[in-house]
Amino acid sequence: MKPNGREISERDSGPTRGPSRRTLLAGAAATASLPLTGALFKPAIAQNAPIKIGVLSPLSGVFSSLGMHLVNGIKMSFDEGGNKIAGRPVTFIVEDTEAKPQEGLRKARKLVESDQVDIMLGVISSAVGYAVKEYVARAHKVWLVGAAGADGIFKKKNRNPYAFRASLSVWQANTPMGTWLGEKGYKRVLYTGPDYAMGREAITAFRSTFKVPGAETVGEIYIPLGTNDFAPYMAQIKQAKPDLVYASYAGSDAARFVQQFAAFGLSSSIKLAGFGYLVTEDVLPIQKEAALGVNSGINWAYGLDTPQNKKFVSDYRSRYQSIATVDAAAGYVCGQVTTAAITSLGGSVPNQLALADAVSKVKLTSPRGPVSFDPETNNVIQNIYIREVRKDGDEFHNYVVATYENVKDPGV
Amino acid sequence: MALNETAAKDTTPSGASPSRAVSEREPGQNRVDLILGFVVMALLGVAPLLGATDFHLSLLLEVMIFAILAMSLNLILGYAGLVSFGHAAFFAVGAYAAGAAANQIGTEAWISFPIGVVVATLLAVPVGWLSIRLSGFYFLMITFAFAQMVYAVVYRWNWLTGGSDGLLISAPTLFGEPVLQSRQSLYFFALVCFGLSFLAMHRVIASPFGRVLVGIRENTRRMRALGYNVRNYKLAAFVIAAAFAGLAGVIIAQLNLFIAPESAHWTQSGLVLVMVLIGGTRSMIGSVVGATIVLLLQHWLSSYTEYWSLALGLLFIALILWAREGLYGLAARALALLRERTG
Amino acid sequence: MSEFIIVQTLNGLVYSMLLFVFALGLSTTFGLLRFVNLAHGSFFLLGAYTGISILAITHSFGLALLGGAIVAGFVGLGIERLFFRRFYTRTDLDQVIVSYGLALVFGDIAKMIWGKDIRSLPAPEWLSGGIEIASVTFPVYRLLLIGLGCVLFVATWLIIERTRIGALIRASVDDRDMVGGIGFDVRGLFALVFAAGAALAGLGGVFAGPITSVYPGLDFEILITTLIVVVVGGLGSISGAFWASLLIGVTDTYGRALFPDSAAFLIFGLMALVLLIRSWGVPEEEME
Repeated sequence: MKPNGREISERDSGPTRGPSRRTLLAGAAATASLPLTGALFKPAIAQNAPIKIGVLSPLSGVFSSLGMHLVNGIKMSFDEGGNKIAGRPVTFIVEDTEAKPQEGLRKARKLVESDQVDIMLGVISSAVGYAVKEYVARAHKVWLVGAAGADGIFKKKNRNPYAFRASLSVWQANTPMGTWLGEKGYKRVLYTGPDYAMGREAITAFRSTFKVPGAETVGEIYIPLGTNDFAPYMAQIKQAKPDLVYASYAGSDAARFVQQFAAFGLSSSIKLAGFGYLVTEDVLPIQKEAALGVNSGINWAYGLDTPQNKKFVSDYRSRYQSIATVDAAAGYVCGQVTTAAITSLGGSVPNQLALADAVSKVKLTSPRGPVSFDPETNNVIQNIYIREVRKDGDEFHNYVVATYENVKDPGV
Repeated sequence: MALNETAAKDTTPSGASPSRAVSEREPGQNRVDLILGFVVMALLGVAPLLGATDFHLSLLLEVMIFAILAMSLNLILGYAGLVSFGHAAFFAVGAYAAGAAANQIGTEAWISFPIGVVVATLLAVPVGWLSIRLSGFYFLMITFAFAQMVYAVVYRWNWLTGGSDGLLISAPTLFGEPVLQSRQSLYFFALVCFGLSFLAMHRVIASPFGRVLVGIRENTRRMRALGYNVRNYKLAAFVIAAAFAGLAGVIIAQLNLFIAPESAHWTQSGLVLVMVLIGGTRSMIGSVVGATIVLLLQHWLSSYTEYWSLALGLLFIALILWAREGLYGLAARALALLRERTG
Repeated sequence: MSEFIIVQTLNGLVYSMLLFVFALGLSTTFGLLRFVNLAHGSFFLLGAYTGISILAITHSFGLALLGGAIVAGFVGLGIERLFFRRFYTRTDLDQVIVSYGLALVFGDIAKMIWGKDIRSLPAPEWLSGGIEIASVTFPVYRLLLIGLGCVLFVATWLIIERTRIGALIRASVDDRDMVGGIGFDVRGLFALVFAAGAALAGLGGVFAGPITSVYPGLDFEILITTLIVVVVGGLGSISGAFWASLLIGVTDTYGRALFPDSAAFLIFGLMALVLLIRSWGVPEEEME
């Protein structure tokens, strides 16, 4: 499936011919006249003109598999509505951020200034998130964030009317775990995570609510950038004799950590729990038995027992031959919110502030449960689920064991 | 294999035969370069008047930024023969220093901008001094190592650099008033910087200093025998190049009002290397063209396919196989062919 | 405390042996062929992905190992014959760019074939257990790796030092023109060595698979570390690669365990330091 709506263009493979001095100059003149032609051929905007949805997602680079699921989720949501909102057709322009802010901003500028999209969705990397949030404030374009969970991106003091986060904040997802595990009687906790912002924020959030009298922190291990192997840390963890390990890994780190935690014999005597990305659906197939029983917290669970989620999960599987993930759900929600907001405006987008206002008023039920936005921070208000990994036939999935409703990030 | 072992290998980075004499480069070539440079500057100057949209201006801004960066690399690669795989580190440091200064010290542009350039330049002194002791593959490796160290530091010093999340940069002011806030004004600022950089680097390569650099690239032993302190010349070139790289960094910091560790990564350095090679190491305007091509190609390709890396990789291979001396070389060859045909 | 030392040293040894398998191929390629191959990580990735596919079909880890090595070796041979051999006399820069370009191409092709998701390459069941060492369960698979690395070192050393082919290779490193002049097929030798290096990388990919998992981008992650080892160990030296692997492997392991804050910085600092130490005292004239 091609993630963007365009065809992959033919690559011309003829031999290269160098330009003469004359053609060099001619070429330079031609390049300079590009802006002129752009100005001449501005398309007219009619009432039944398509609604243009810009999607920013990492299609290459580190987060490419997350980005793919995000775009899938978005597309599926609109597909279900016949790719129309209030009778108007919807077109997508999907751009690759490469999970790099420099490139992400370039694409954001393209979507906003050149393609003049009606709304922009997406972004997974928090770094790109920080950069784009400031950009949309200057460019006055409504933007729904698809992941980018860093706490600092959406705070009260840096709220701008255009940016909304439909995914989660790291704080939001980890604090319920602190409350929940705090009731389970663990006394010796060891924290571990990757040594960058997300890894640390998740643990800080957990600790703010895991206030158990008599409990002590027996260790804090932040893994440096570029570590391929957790072996050096397993002995350290065992030596500290924790009864609970809270981990904030994601992606390939998460796959390896959970695997090795079991391989080094730690899982038999120590409880492992963490931020939802520790055991997402895309790493479970690698972790398999090693992940059994691991608890994690995030805004969705594969096994969430609502008809809407069951349909979402099975539709996703039949459409993409792939297991739905958190990012797919996030994409789907972005699509739902967009549809709801533009529908409430009667299908037209008169200006960005009106759209922003419509988005802020959206309240809907998604495969994740209820979704609405906090007017003080524009961060989503939603349920956070405490999940547990269980075996389901040949596969391993997350099932809900507790729900914390309407969790809001205070944004301070 | 000893560090000095380069037997059986052509030592000139441009692939040309090492037997060319020192100042064989005709004054005419320099003049053509200069003229083309003025043409480009003129074109860039009128672009906004021809109806270039804000988005087009942002692309041209990036072109100018990377053109400055590529030209600066060309100074050490094409002219001094130093193949650095860590040049992007100075680019990023310029942006980070200007950004951190704007955030911590003050948003006055006349303070933060020079700080960006100065910090990048100062960093180049010890890095250059140490790296110059090596040559060939080892020089490549050590510049790579230093660049990765910069990346690691930038990643860790959250308090100053924002760490992995990158650094949001406060917008510049001049005597209290916001400045360079509109795309147009930043564009013209960048154009002035680009013009001055181009002219400055031209002066450098046309000067006796520049000719010594070429001499060092072509035949180091001979230059040493002639009494030149080769190391000092190389170091000077390295530091000058870093200054311009830092300037490019300062400008991109104003365009994005953001900078992230990725801009210091060796993959960014690799991209700049290719920009220089595509243009051809024998001309400064070539680097400008190379930067334009790589930037625009990367931008357009990634809109069409997620496998733009593959296309880029094929480009690199094609470049080395068939257009080793870059567009400049192709142009020169085509010109020579034309001259032959017309007698 | 002694528990810590035992376990971390073992971990370091495992990591070292993995590094050695990757670095060996790169080092000999550079030493003999004077070729800087930034696509070395691609052979590693190719081997790993091939291993996954073979494992999925045959459920035999042994076949996966063999398959990964053979496929990588063949691809390496093909690349060398059709392509890289034209670059032996070209500059370092040319080789760097061309092999980097190839690595980019390989990376995307691998994505097209095997997708973007992280894939697992599980070790065989009978090796999945652990042994109690110093109150930590140490995975048996890792211990095996240590053994394998040593066996590889000894085997390669024997081949280079004690066999005729090895003698040819050593001679060619010293004076390839003379060897060619005597009548040996030096080009064929080069192809063989390159293919062997690629096969080793592919083998390493399958070996490392159960530990690292397999995903796009792994090729460059491995390449960087391998470059460090090769530079530190000296290009072209097998024992150099071995000892450098040990040094880097153990230092990195202890470094990450004891100084996680500065581990990334330190490892490149070590590389720069070694490069500088080597160059110290060598007069400028000899540097060219």
